[in-house]
Amino acid sequence: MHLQRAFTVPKAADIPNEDRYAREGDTFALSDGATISYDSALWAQIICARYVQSPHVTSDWLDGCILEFNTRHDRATMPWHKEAAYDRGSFASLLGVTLTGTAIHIDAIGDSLAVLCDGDAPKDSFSYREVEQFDQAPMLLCTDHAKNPIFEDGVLAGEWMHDWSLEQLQSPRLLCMTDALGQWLLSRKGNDSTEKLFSLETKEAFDQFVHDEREAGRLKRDDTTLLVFW
Amino acid sequence: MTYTGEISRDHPTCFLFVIDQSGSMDEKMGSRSKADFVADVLNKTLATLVANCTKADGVRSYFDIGVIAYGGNGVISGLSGDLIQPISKIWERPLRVEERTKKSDDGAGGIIDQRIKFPVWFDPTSSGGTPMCAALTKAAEAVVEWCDAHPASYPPTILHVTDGQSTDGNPEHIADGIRQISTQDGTCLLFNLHVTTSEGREVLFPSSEQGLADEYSRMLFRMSSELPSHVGRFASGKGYTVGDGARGFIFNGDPKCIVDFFEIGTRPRLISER
Repeated sequence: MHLQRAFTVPKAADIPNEDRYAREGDTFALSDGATISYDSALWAQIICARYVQSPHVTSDWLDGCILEFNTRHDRATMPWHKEAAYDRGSFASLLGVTLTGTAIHIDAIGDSLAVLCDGDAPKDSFSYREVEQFDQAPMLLCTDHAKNPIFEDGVLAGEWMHDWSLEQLQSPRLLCMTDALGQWLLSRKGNDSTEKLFSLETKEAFDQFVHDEREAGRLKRDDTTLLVFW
Repeated sequence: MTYTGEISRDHPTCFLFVIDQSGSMDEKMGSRSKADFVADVLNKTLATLVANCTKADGVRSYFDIGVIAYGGNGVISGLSGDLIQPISKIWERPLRVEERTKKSDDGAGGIIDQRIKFPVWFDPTSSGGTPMCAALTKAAEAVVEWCDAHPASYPPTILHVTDGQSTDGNPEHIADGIRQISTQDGTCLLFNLHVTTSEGREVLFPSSEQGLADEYSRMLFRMSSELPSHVGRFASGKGYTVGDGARGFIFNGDPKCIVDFFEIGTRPRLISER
């Protein structure tokens, strides 16, 4: 299985995209920086870059991410409003994927979504399986260490990880996406939605699809990223 | 569906705070007056709203903000400049920025004192009567104009804080009028908080007039909008019992209620906030 396509579209033409993704060999990371947190695009970028270098999410790993983020800012010289935003913390999801031939390992903190398919048919998804889960406030990685209750004895707790075996699948495929598209996909039943996403072969086709779905009110106006593997 | 509009720079929403500064607001809640405490919470709320809109490259105008103060000085704008202003203007114009300390996690299991900058837009005062009708009339005029200019936006939320009865007439029909002003996304939301220093029983987000002790509290109940479902869920998440038809209304609220009322009332944040 290999990465075939990667597309991303910002929430609006004049607003920077805060989704990031990275790749190193068979390891991939996708991160969605939270809209109202300070410099979340940088936070998402650090998470992705460090994950693909070291795909073992531990308390020490996260401390390294936070240290790098903090060294890129000087709180002492910030005006009050940037200091307040910085102190609230920056937030971002992490969807980490490691391909090992006959299996896929997923680390997922937050509401970015991985969907395993056999051909066009969806078989499972992680970390959400029901569209209603998108209505809850997701756990996100934060630059304030105290706001990351995701570790047990310093390593990522099991609820944030999942493994899929590919051995029983005829034609294994994988979709990874940020929350707007994940919510769109889980709100539909059957193969039509996954079929649609696999059919988007160019950036232009993806942009048009996002535009049309937003205009129809079916896709939330948010940064939207899709990675396609087979 | 109402109250589902995306909040963005193209479609901001509006928060209008209406604050009682009558003479009785100088009564003590613990070591501080009600007016002091309400002003502090309001300033903190404004700072939080600004922080929510602050990115590394500047402040995005997701919200328009206004403050109306009423008391012995009549009905006045609580902020310098226009009555309702985009948040990208609000952040530039605090009266002053104070240095305060707060307790913070040091990341190693300990607690440290951290110096923070605390902007102040609104100073407490307390004098005279309670011209609630005049204040709500001014609020109605402001939100009518705002809705005309923003027909597709999430409608304005008016957070009214008072500790006593109106001294310039019955405000109920004015509140009824405010709750009929609308955008395409729904009618204006009017939430009322009654603060007290007495030992009376708190009434928190009630669904009916039953159980309210007197005509005054029942009137404030009728003046209050139903909580939209997403705001109700947020209030539930903070531990409040929120039944069907619950109103944005707290009676005999203590200091914690004041903090929660402002936080819950300003909940209609960005749809794509996370």
